[in-house]
Formats: sequence, structure tokens, C-alpha cells
Amino acid sequence: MGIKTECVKNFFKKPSTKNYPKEKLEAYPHFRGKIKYFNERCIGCQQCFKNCPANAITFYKKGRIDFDMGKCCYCGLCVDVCPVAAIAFTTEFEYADNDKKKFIVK
Amino acid sequence: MHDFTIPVGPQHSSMKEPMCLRVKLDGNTITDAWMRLGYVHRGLEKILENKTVIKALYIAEHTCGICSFTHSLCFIRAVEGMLNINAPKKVNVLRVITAELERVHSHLLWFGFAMHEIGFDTLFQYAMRERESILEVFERITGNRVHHSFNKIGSVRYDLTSGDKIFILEKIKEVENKLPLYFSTVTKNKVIHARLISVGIINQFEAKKFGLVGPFARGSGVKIDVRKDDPYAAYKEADFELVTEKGGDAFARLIVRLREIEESIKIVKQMIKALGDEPIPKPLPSISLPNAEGYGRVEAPRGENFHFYRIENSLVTRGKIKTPTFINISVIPHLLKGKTIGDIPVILSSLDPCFGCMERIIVVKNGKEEVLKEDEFRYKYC
Repeated sequence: MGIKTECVKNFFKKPSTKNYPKEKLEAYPHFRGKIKYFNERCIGCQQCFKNCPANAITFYKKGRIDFDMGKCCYCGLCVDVCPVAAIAFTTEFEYADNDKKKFIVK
Repeated sequence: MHDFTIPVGPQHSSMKEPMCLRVKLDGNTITDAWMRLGYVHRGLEKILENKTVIKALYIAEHTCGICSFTHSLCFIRAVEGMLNINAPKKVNVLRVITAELERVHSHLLWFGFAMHEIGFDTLFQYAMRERESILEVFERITGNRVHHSFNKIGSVRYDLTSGDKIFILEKIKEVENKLPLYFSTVTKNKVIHARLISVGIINQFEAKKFGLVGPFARGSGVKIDVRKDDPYAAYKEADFELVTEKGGDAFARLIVRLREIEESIKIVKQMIKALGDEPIPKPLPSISLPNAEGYGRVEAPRGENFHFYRIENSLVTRGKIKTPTFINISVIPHLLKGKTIGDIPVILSSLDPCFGCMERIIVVKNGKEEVLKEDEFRYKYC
């Protein structure tokens, strides 16, 4: 029976899980995590606002745009479409919260 | 004997998603069954309307969380057909790699949950461990674990580096090495045989009559597969076997899905070899479409996906999504007749239901108000 041999093998192995809050896995460089917004670069062209499929972006004025990460579908259209690279993805993925206001990136 | 009608669900012990099943019992034997769907209806086809094609691609992808890539591939096939774009070979090969990896991950997830339903939790844990290595591949090559957003019109998001190719082959090897263990456990274990063999039998004639698709039909010996019947992307160059089994019961479907994992791994290996060195084209920045209608069909892990789109003034004005699970679930009341209550989770899970993607229709009563007590509501609508 395969399960018995698997048991014996696992006696001599390290645990396959990580000790999570202390040790963390690193995300791969392509990973699309929390959005970062460089407001000093923004030229106010509204392309990100017009292209968002999830309506997660609110445009106020040049240099002030809100990104609601609770609505975001991480498709990356706003990042692709921005002519001055004012929006970028980070590899941060730990931002679960009870407060919805904390999902908004300014 | 007393006759009882009992509701199983909407929140029930076996499925993670809501569905109400009403079964009429004679003792422990089911004499009749009805279903009620519509608890997770999201109105996706309505959301698609009046969106530009580039936006609609990502909305269509969110139809299903497990087979999200195949939905975007289906959209791409419809729109590229309308635009007369022929994607270069490398893009097609990259699409096939991602689609087949998704099939491996979906079948492993199903295998784990099917074993969990019959109480074999060891295999459930093993299958989830194997699935994790595939999800890691997705995170590395597409940028996300579930909704990959990998497809773009005429192109894909990222190219594979040589390091990525080695990484995929390593992770696939891990899954491949474990498959013989699953085969031997499944074919030798008496508990699995007792719970799965001759449960939920549907023969070839009935499978064709109900219009079943995917591994569910192939378990009954129906040779149906869009990858063979109407090859898309780079499936013409792929050399793989159309897996069918003759049993028609839950066990045959289990074997079909396990063998399909093997075939998918074979395809991924072939495609990585066929990958050229040329760069992938840049995606189109904006698309102006003629007024046109088009459709796409692809083989999702659960069967045939069909998308239809009508485009007017570069906006999607009508979208129709047909998912394989919606067709397959129609056979459930037929399969349950004559079986016992203990067979319900096995039969339900053997068709790999995904309620999120099958909920395409909901009944909204127009202008008629109804006042119901809680019990009446439960009886009428649950």
C-alpha cells in the first residue's frame, strides 16, 4: 500500500508548510498584488478610469485617483494603459482587513 | 412504507456551493428528484453589455474561478474570428500550455473533492498537495493563481523564459511521479469500489440523448472533445489520445479524469518542446471592430464551452455564455432515481458541478407581489 511507504518517507522530511507569520513565501516577480500609485507622475488623462472593467477606479483630478482593491479584478489594464507609468503592481498580497476603507489605495 | 419529500440544500454538507435538491423517498430509496438553481446568479451576460471588447475579455474570464483561462480563450476565439487575426504560433503554444495546466489543476481538485465525499480524506490531502505545485506554476508564468488574465487579443501577457520552462517541467514531474500511486490506490481499494462502481450509471445512448459533454460523456464511451473535433490554438500539432471508458458509472468518470491528467501532462511537454525563440507580438492598444457576430468553442476541463457575442460600434451588445456544467446537471434527477440517500453526494460530485458558472438564468416575477410565511417560502422556493 502506497500510503505506508509515504508515511515512512515523511518521517525523515522537513515539514512542507511554512511557519507563516514568522517565515513568508516570496511572491514571483510577475505576481500582480496591491497597486501602487505615483501621484506626482500622473498627467490626468483618465485612461485607467475609462479602461477599468470592475469600476474600481475613481477619478477626482490630476494626481488624485482612488483605487478600490476590494473591487479590483487584477487584470492589469490600468497598468498597461498608463502612458507615464504612474501605476504599478507590487508583490504585496497580505492586506485582508475588516475595514473596507483600508482597501482604497490613494 | 412512508413517503417523504426532503430538501437537500441549499446549504448542504457535500457541496461548497448552494443548490437545492428535493428528493422523494420511499424508505431509503429515492423515487423522484427535482432541482432548483439560481442562488449564485450574478447577471454576467448583462454586465458584458455595452463594454468595450478589451474590458469584456476580463469580465468573461470571471465566469468561472476554476476554468477561468478557458473562458477567456473562448472569448478570444470568438473575437479573433471576427477580426480575422491569426495569432502567431508561439502565442498559440503558450495558450495551450496554460489551458492544459488548468485542466490538470481542475481534475486534481475534482479528484480530491470526490475522494473527500466518500470519506477518503488521505487522497484528498494528497491531491491538494499536487494541485499546489500547479498553482505555483500559474503564479510564476501568468502572475496570478486563479484569475490568470493571461490572454490578450492577438497576444498573451508574458513570454516564458528558459528558467520558467525548467520550472514547469520540474513541477509537472512532481505530479507525474505521484499519478501511479493514485491509479493503484483507486483500482485496488475496496472502499472506493464499493462506493463508486455501478453508481449513477448512464449508458452511451442516454448520454447522447441528454447531450452530455466532457469527461462525463467520455465516461460513457461517447467520443466528444472539441480539441479533436474542431482544433483551435495549437491543438492540431499536439499528439494525444481521446480518453474514453465504457463503464458509464462514477468509477469510469474517475478513471477518465485521472487518465486525462496524464494526457494533459503529455501535451504540456510536447508544447514546451515546440516553443520557439521569437518574441511575442505586442497586444493591440485599441480595437475598432465592424458590426459583427461571432462565436467560439473550446474544451474546458468539464466539457465544451460556448460563447456567442454580437458587436455594434465596437461595443459588446449581446453576450451568450453556455457552460458545460449546466448541460450536465440536467441529468441529475434521472441518475438519482432508484438510488439511496448515501449515493447523492457521490453522484453529484461525479459530474464535477460548478454552480458559479452554470447560473445563467433566474426567474424574476414581474409586478406580482407575494406575501409568504417562512415555511411557505421554504417550501416554494428552496
